[in-house]
Amino acid sequence: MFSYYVKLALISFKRTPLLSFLMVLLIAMGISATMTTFTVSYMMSQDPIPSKSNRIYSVQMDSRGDGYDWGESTLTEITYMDMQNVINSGIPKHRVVISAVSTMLRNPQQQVQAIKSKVRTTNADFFTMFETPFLFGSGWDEQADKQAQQVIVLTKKSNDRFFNGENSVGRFLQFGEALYQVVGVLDDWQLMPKFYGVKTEAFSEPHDVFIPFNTQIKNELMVGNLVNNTCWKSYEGDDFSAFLASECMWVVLWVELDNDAAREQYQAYIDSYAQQQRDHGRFSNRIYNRLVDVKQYLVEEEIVSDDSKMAVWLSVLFLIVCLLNCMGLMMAKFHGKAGEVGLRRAVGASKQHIVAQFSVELAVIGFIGGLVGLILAQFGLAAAENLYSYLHASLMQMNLILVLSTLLLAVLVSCTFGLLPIFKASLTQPSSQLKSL
Amino acid sequence: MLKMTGLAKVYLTSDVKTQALQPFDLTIEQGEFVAVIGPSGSGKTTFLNIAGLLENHSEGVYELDGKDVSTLSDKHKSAYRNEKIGFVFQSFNLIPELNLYDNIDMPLRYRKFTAKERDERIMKALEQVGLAGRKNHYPTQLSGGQQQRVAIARAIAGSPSVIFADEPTGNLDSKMAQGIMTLLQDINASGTSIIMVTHDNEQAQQAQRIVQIKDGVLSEDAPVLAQAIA
Repeated sequence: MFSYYVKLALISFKRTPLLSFLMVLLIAMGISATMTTFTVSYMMSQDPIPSKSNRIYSVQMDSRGDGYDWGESTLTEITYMDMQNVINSGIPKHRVVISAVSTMLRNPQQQVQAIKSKVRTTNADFFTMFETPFLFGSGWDEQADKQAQQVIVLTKKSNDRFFNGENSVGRFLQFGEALYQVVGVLDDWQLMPKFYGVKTEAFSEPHDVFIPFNTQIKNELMVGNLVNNTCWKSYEGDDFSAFLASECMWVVLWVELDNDAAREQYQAYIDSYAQQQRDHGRFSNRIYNRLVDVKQYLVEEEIVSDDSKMAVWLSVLFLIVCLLNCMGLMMAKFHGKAGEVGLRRAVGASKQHIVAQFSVELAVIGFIGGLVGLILAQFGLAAAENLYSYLHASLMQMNLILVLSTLLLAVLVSCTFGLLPIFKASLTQPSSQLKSL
Repeated sequence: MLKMTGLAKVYLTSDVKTQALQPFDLTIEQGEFVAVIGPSGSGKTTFLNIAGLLENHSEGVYELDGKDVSTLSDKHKSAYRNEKIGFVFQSFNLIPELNLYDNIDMPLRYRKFTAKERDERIMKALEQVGLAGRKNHYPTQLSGGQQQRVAIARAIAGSPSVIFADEPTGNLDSKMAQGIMTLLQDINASGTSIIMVTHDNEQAQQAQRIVQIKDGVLSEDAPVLAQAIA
């Protein structure tokens, strides 16, 4: 019967083209608005690294000690010296230090003008732990970290910019006044959100290049505004070593812990470390160390903004308004088919048959509305991409799940809002309609 | 086949009570051709709607094939209409967007026939009404008489035990009307009961029995032959 009802639905569509077109348009408009905002919100709240998001932890240590009651709040950054003191623990499988600087970069052989670029400073484990894909070469090794070598990894975009997309491994890039040798070029990297850095850049492109954190330290490259830097206590001296020895919290530390046992062991380890520091006068406020896994981190740091969620709710309201209007059209459409309903009832259709027939008809209209809505949503996403050019383009792309969800949603809401018109149509008294066909 | 005992129909509105049909008794046996005559507004169509299970009666007992229809649920009444009853209406009531084949297919869809069985029944019905070559035509491409033939084909495709025809020739000229009457008689000859509402006394005379309804009163029920003798 389903195929029969689909056939009837298509015939009905042709019978009242304007009414059907308006219904499709209303559904399409509501669906496209909803799915445009939902796509952005959904892509923002995706698990960025599902294979290990429950094993990667942000290490948070509250070393503040001014006696002020900070409540439950912690910072996602720790001090350089705390990082140095815990980084060599053998408990984590991987340890990743994160910071950033900005500099001027250019290809010394081809470019005259240097380009201001964002530099992610990290260590070799970064590329392993975050499973970065490489187009050419690879990340640097631990030896490069230890020796603070002047090596550099480029994003694909930077490689296009500085080396016209050629394999640049082994070539040099002028980094300020120094030369850094290219060891690898990243391929397109879909990690979204990029949770490892500062919150405001979670949905942006990755930084242009990557260099060893120790090279940043060795070359005394000061952090700018690309990292959060909380200096709750002033420090003496204005040289780089004074900054490193200070209580300023500016280094982000991530660790990968294989299982709960490792997690508990590492928690005990940093608690023990904090206790030792407390014995030396630091951590005087409290010992409050946390290991926050990726999903929890996304929630706590409110990576997906309330604005994004609000936009989804507003568009859902818009969808409801569209559907209420559509419901009026459904009423008109089914009222116009009262004669046919009367005839079908007379020749043996039960109320259930009528309900099934009109439900399929609305499902077909909803499906067509969903298809048109999908096309409109692509325009909406393209407009959003233009408007929010600082956001990563992958946020504005529907995946297969979203495409299928769009169609399913369109069909479901069409049938749901058609319940009343369908119910009314099914109550048609055949004897009262048989002369009105 | 059809037995009505003390059957009556009352329409109630907020402050008006209309007795559409006074209590009456009527029995129609399988294979009979009965004409129901009477002036406009006398209650003929109400009678036909009740007999065809399109409306409920207010009083009395109506048994169809020995079953008291007042005990049937809406779903079972639909099934009864589908299996036991065929309808032919004055205005044909064909769906203009469906071709002849699909119009006749409509009642068969609500029965669990296979596609092959449906096809056989549709083609047989079309042949019976002389329109087998026009199965892909649409109702608007046919004359009134041909449209009524399609409606008759739709009514007989499901092999009902009774056909209710509500002024089946009312919209046709006399030549076409006679063609339809002949067709109904042929169908009746094969054992299907026909209950036909008509204004036309001449056509009524072609039935085996005449039931007259006037002001809601079933006032006459005599075989045509006996009436002719009288």
